[in-house]
Amino acid sequence: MRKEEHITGRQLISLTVMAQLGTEVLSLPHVGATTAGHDTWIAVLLSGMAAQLGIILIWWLGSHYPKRNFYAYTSQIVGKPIGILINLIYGTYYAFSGLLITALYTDILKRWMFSLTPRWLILLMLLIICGYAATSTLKKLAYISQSFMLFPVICFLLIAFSGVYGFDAKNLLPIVSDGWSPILKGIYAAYSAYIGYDLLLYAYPYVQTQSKKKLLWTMSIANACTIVFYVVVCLVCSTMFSLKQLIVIPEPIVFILKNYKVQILQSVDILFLIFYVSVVAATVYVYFFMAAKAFMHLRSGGMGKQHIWVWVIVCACFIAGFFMTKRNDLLQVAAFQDQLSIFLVVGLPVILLIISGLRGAGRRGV
Amino acid sequence: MKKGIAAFFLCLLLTGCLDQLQLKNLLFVDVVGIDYVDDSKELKVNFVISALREANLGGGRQSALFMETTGANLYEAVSKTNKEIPGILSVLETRLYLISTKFAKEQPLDHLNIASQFASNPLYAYLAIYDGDLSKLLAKKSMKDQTVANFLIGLLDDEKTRGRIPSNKLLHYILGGTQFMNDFALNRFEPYKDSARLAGTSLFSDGRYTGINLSNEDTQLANLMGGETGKNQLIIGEQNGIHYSILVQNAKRHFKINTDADKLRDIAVDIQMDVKLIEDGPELKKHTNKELAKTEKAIEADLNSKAAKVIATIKQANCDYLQLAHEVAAFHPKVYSGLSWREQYPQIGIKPQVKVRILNNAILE
Repeated sequence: MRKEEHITGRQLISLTVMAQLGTEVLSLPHVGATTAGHDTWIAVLLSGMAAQLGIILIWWLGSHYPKRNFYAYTSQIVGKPIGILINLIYGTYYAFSGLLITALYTDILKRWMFSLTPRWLILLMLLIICGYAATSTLKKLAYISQSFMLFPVICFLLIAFSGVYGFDAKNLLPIVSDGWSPILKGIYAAYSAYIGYDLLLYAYPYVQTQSKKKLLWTMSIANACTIVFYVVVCLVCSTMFSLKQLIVIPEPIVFILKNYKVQILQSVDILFLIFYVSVVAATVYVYFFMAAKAFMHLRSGGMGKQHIWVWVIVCACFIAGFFMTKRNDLLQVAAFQDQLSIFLVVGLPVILLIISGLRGAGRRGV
Repeated sequence: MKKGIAAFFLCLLLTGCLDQLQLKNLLFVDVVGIDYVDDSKELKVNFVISALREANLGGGRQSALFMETTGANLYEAVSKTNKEIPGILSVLETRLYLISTKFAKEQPLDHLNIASQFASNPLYAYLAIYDGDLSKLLAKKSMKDQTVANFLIGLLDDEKTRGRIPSNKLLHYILGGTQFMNDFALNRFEPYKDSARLAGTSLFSDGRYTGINLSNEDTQLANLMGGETGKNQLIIGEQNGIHYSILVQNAKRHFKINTDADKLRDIAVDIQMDVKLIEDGPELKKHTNKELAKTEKAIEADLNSKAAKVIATIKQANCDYLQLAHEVAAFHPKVYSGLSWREQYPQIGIKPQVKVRILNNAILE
């Protein structure tokens, strides 16, 4: 297996932020409005805090095995057969997540911009871009993410400053008017938007920081950036649209960007969607990278080469993409993926942490 | 890094050529006019297509092509028009949706909602009402030496810049509306000599035209009560037989909701207005503090009585133009939950309280 080079704390921040920001930015205010109403921003904020607990959990698990990545120590915790099964599940999950995000963004591009371009062509181009990047090392992926960080910053500024076209802060009032139940549902719905921090499962031993605490601090900064991004997006959308509108508009951000009138530039919204490809691509190539690494760890000595696994995943995703053409089906699959994410990114690490803790205690007892 | 650059260029390649639209084939719809065909429910849709002719000769000559068609909805109308003229109708540059009074009285927003399905549609085009024969107006080749589109949109742009009319963008009203209550006042055009002019606003209640209008002056006051800062707006009035003209420098609006326990008593609309006194009677004179205070009181009295009339009109139309329901719901949710706003709104006491402060006499002493 190729030896992984170390990345810096700053690179980890870029990678994590880019991995977390996916297609959810576009639809989060809509999804939040259907569950948490005008308290979406509270749900998104609390969801970000819950994600912070998830980060602490993964960091804690990783700190038990500081020299090895997640796929390398699963067998050590639960034994070889189950460890291999866990790696296989994670590999499939990441490949599936990558496909889903690509399919969702293809659907957005198809609806908003490329109505005549065949769907398979857009999907193929996105998959090739992401696959090509995913064949790199973690360090090179970090470099790419750092270069692309400019795009989410531009997107954030465009969204934040769209508020100058008039907003109504009263749309946020009264706060928690329908009790906490809709907000709790909103927290669940928004949690999937923060998934991506699980990159730490693999990246933990390859981050150069002065201490373990510094690593946790670095991840927390990345998560805080994502929280700010999401909360601002939800606040802008909630103050500029009524609840009725947010429920029927699946991508309110695109509608908001239509507001910009620049004499020398037509349709800032279309430009945004093009820029945003870089953010979506960053999420997908991280997932494909994680999937390939998981498959490579199906044998302790390493199984296959990274680039071969990546292209196998890309081909499989391309074929599977032909069966994901209906938007309603996509949304149903996305709902299933949300549940799966919570199990694999929160549930399974908790179980592994408990087993690891028990075994450690047992060893100390002996 | 090479991979990064390669990935970036691949991203740019996504803007492929399968969806290309050649500029020469596009027919840019500048104004969309919507009316009903006689007494039926079929839509009569007018398109004013703008183009620049003889651009090779320098500045070029603006021209407008008028198309009229019918259809069950906007999409059908576009589809029919595409069969009547070579080229592709594009709403990429549409600046104005003009609707007739007849169309506005029947749920017009149900038909306009479909505009949000046009992917390239700028939903921030103006929405306005025309109280006359829409086809006749839009079919005109020019008005005051300008194309119809430039003339109508120019009027709206200029008045909006002066802050005298509501913004009225399409997206503010469709798909349920951006506001708490979908009550609003649309800018109203009326026939004037051989062209058209702005004639106040038409009041809408729950997205439907009520048939009640506000004059230009009433619209200006309603706008100020709606929270417009009113920078450099000219207000002309008369008090005790003396004409006055003031230029608003700044206006601050504040709602005061008075309640008894969980019941709404009344609502005060406070407006604090800083103004320049341009004219106060026929002769120019230097005002003493006492005289200024007297003039302030006189202007306040005039504006208060005018504002009260505006409020009476919007209440008569059951149009919550000031979005008071939102104010009550946001800050007094318990009070709001005990109200049946639509039924009770016309009976709610709404009192305007205008306070005027004369800052100076403009340029002259």
